[in-house]
Amino acid sequence: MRISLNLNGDLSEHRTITGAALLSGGELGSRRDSASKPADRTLADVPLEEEVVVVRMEVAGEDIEPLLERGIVPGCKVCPVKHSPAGGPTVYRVDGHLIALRRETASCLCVRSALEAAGVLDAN
Amino acid sequence: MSNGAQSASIAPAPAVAPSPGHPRVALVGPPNSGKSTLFNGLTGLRQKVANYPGVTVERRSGVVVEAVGSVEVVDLPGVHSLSPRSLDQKVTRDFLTGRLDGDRQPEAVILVLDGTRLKTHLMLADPVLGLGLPTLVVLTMADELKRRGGGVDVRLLSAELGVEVALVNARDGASLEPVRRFLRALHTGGEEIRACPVVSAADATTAEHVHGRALPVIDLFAERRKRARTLGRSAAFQDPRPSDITHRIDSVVLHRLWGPLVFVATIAVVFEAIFTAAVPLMDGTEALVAASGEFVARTLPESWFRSLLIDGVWAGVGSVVVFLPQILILFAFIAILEDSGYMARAAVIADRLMHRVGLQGRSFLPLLSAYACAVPAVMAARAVEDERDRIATIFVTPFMTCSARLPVYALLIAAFIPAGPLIGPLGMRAAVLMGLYALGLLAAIATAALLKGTLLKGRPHPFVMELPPYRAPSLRSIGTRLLDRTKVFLRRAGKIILTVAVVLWVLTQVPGGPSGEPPEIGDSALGRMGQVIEPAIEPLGFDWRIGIGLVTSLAAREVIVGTLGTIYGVESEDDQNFELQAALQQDLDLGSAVAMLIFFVFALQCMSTVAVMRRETGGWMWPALQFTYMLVLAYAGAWVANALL
Repeated sequence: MRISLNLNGDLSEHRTITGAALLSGGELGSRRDSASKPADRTLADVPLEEEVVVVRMEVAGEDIEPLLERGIVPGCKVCPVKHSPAGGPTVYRVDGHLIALRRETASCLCVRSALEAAGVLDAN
Repeated sequence: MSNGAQSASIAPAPAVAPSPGHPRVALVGPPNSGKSTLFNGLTGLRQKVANYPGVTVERRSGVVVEAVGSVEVVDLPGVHSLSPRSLDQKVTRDFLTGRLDGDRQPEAVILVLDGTRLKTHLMLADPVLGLGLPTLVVLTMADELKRRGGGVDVRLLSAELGVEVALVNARDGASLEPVRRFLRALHTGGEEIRACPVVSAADATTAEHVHGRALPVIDLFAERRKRARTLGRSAAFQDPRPSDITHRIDSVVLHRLWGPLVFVATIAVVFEAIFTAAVPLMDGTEALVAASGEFVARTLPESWFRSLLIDGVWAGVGSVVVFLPQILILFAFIAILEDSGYMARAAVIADRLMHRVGLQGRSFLPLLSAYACAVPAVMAARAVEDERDRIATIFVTPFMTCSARLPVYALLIAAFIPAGPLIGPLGMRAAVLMGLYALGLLAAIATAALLKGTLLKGRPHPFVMELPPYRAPSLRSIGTRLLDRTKVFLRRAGKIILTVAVVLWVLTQVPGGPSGEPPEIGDSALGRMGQVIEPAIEPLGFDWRIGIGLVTSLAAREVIVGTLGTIYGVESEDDQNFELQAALQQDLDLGSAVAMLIFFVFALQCMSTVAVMRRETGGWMWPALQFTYMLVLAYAGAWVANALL
């Protein structure tokens, strides 16, 4: 429960991570520092084959449900595997199966690299 | 199919089903979970397809006969959750909770989950078990799970969920025995049924209400996913490796260069099959209809009844039945493309293009189908989840050049367009035909863009397309679907065409002469109608004869060919088309002939389409609007053509 609340809080998210880093002392803090340079990326910016974790979903209203019920929820791992021709939807691997999303949808999903997110989870 | 080994004991009074008829079991599961394959495996050909009252969602049910008694199995539309966002989901939820009009709550539930995707699919477990009905959880794709190095301990999962769990291959009848045992238990009141929910129902409640209050949807799903993973871990679920084959095929099919080529090649193959391979079959069907008509004509004595049967029923219904082979071939391709997993990729490839005109990738399939016939295409638009996109798709399907236009195009082109070459190998006639196809496509695109910019304007919904792993389609599932489609098509089209054919026939017969003989066509009620509308169609270059043809073609486009044949009194069986061409050349000039072609490109002359539109959009508004819009476009287009040429 704590994990998902921490990861999907909206504006409180940075605070949460900072807090976690402070609480757990130097080593983790430095790991956070090294990885925190880029601000949150969106899924649309992630290069192929890089695994990331969804931390926040900025999708309006009930539009979010088709994503949620297919397993795209805060905390899930997503990995872009294939761009389709001519700027069409990109295919992502989510929990071992393939889901195609348009760029505009992917850019509503804030992500963090899997390693960095793992650090946060450890901290919690 | 193995059945009934353990069913020797005589059933006591049904423990679960005090209601009349067979006990009823609902199949619930996400799309692509193997639910329909399981349904086919259980019920074989004892299936029935109907619509839920008042809505367009198909209700598929079948009866499973076991020695201890029969069970009705209802295959509910695939859902990922029980939230009533779409019509399908609403039907599924209402059916399960017994809130659907005219359907009682099922006595038990079979929850079908893809065994290779348990981490996501188990998210459906809590909401379904929370219904408190006796439930069997069926994990499908056992063979694939094993082949790809995954695994799950069914007993552990069963202990965790508090209900029976079975791991099956839905295509392998023998592996369905646990499912049959569950169905038998509905009659015998066996352990499988009694052992059911309560515990898991409590779990489901805690999952949706943490600390006594409902969670926001995003947290609810995050919770469900966490619970699904916990369940998976407790059941020693081992993720299967990603499918190698799928990865390799996708690297071609979604390739920057090869992807679109494969896509175009697929469409070309489907077209080739519809328009070339189907021809002998259609000729055969036509010959069969003609021969049976002649047989009936010879057998019955000359009377008004014979005339009704032959000139009305046979001619009318025959003109539709002729398209059946074509439609079946189309559906066979669709079934293969869908079951193999390619259709999802095609939708992804098409999405970019479709999105630009306001539609989406899923609209591609209905629009492709519409080249054969708009009726199945409108039904196929159900795959478009977004309601606005679905309506827009349905609205533009009749612009795609369906095969009913072909006989009309063929007649007019042969009569008025010279056969000479235009550019290189491309003949004049072929070019005109292609132009007509292109004109229809352009009208569809422009109309879709217009609609999405006005009446159906709105924030676009996200396009979320699952790409299932490639699987070899099963003959059985394709066969079952073809059978389904045939029944639905014949029932739906047959009813309308039959009615219209009879009405038209009556209009050609009244008012009768003094001795009861039918009137000359020009004096009949139908002929007078033609004369009444003549002033309206004169600007297009048409006279009252063409007018009658247009009136009759409102039933179905190709009917005009037969009507014109009758009107011009072309009696001879041989070279009928040739003489009809000559007759038309007397009445029409190049301008009015092109006007007529253009009229047929745009106008919605097909009662079957209007009827299916009404059904699928739930009212007369959209079909009325569409009919008017297309008629205006057709009239304007024809007027311009006639004025210019």
